[in-house]
Amino acid sequence: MTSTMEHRRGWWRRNRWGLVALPLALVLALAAGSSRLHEYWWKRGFHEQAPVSSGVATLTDEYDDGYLRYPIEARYSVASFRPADDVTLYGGDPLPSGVRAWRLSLAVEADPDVALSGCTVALVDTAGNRHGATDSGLDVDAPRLASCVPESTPGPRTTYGSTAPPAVPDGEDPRPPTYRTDTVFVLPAEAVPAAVRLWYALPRYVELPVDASAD
Amino acid sequence: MTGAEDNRLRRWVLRLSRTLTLRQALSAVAALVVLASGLFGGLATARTSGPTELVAGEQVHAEPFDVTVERARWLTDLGLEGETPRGRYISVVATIKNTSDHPVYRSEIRDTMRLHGLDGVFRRESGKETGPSEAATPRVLVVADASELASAAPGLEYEVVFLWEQAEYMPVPEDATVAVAARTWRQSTLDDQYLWFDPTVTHAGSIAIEKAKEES
Amino acid sequence: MRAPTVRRPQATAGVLVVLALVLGQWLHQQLPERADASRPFEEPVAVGGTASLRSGDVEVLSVDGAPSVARKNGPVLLSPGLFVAVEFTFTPRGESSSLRYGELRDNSGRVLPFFGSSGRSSIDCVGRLVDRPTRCLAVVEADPASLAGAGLAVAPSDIDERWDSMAVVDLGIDADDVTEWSARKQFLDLPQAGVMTRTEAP
Repeated sequence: MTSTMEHRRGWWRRNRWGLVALPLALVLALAAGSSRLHEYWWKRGFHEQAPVSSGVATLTDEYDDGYLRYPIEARYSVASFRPADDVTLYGGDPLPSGVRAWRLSLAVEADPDVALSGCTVALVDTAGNRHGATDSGLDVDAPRLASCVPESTPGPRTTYGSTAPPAVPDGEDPRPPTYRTDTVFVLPAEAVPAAVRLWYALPRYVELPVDASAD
Repeated sequence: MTGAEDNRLRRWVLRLSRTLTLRQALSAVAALVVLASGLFGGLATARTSGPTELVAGEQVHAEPFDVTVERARWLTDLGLEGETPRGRYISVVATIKNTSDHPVYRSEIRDTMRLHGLDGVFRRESGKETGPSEAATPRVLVVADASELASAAPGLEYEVVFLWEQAEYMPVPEDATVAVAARTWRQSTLDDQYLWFDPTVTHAGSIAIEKAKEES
Repeated sequence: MRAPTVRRPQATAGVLVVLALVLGQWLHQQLPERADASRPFEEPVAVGGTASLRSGDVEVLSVDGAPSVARKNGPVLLSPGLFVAVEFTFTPRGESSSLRYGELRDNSGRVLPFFGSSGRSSIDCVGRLVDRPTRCLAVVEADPASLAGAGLAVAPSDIDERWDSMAVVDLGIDADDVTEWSARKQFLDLPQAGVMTRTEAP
């Protein structure tokens, strides 16, 4: 009896490092098989929120398609957000009933040498629904396309199909270091906007609260 | 193996080596191999190589289609809106019927037919690249409504025109070899999807290319 | 001479490895077959009814057919068989989303997939505002003999319909419908897809 007990204790002692390593090996084995989690879940959702301090979000991201890489760095804050009840359809007709337009003005601060074209902007309402700027498909007489950069001075951009780094085309002025972009969103009338989201490539994104009670 | 069995085997091999030459032994082994290959289809009749003769007006089967090549024409104007010709059109009018249980999509329909023996043919629907007709993909239009046959439903027979464009500087061809390819419905070895694979030319024949009657 | 005791743990390890392999093989056989395990979640619906999918709601409005159809501002198509046009609405949930995959399930059990918003068989369905129905249209060209009793399935992704929900519409077509449609001389005017059918809250 005593000899069996001693034998058992001996076994535990002999294998103590193996036993310690076992949970670690298990974790490593699971991690080795988790590429799908990364590809299909992590990279496709809003998972890495840019840090926000006193209403200013600092986005540090990178464009990388396997051929071309460049950094994306900018600071965003909400300059103004209010209902845009003056917005009409092209030609002057009022918006259909049951929807409401909102105008967002974002203040952006970024190095003029950083390429910032190609972002997506959306509003998130209090129910958690996400509304893109062009979702409604209505012919709204306002800047609908999510404008990430000033229209006349968009700054550096890439050439489609080329691996050359982003550059400002000849004869074009550089983008100012600070600027504002306006976007009009059409939402279901009952939706209460709670935040604005902006992103280049998920999982990284900017989220800033908006105040819908300004009307 | 026991020692007794070992001895018996050794005696047998020794006796065999006295009656058989090495050449005879090798021949016997070769014969056995050939016979054994019969179990895996080694003795089946070999398929004669090369496509079967294709004749205008006669229906042939090239999986998944029943194909009847009717005629070949060349013309300079299709009479379609928004069409800017790059050269002369060479058309092969045919009826095709999808006899399978699966839809056939654009690229497979296009790859059903190739012209052999012409040069200066535009390789793709757009662009300026020309080359031998073997490498040129035709457009396939439905005669009834002049729309592209982007999918052929099972059980339906379409009258279609396979359409190539040839550079104007090439002499007007008098004939061309029309080659029809068959495909196999099988599972992809890469992603397990069932699709039409392995195009193989099964029928080919020379067809006269005449000038089409054009409305002026 | 006694057999050395150190041999025993080594033999045990070998047996354990074999047992682990046996267990793995057994588990592999017990787990459901791949195609079956990854099948879409089918939501049956009839004409006039609503199917609730993961990404939104599908309400089937009407089914019609003819040998010839005309799209709004588009070409007239003529079929050696029949075109079946299914009009439905899609009300996206949570965010704007689309239905891009369609398949005809004909009366002999064949599954005939189609995708793309143009061509002879097409599905045009962009769900616009959250909680607002958008009109959608699926047109499929088929052999008339295969249509009586056929169904239509629609799903979000045109490249991978596994694991997601799929609306399976009972088209309610009988032999008389097929005869009537085949005899039509006038082309069928297809409704415009992509517009919101209602902008007020439900």
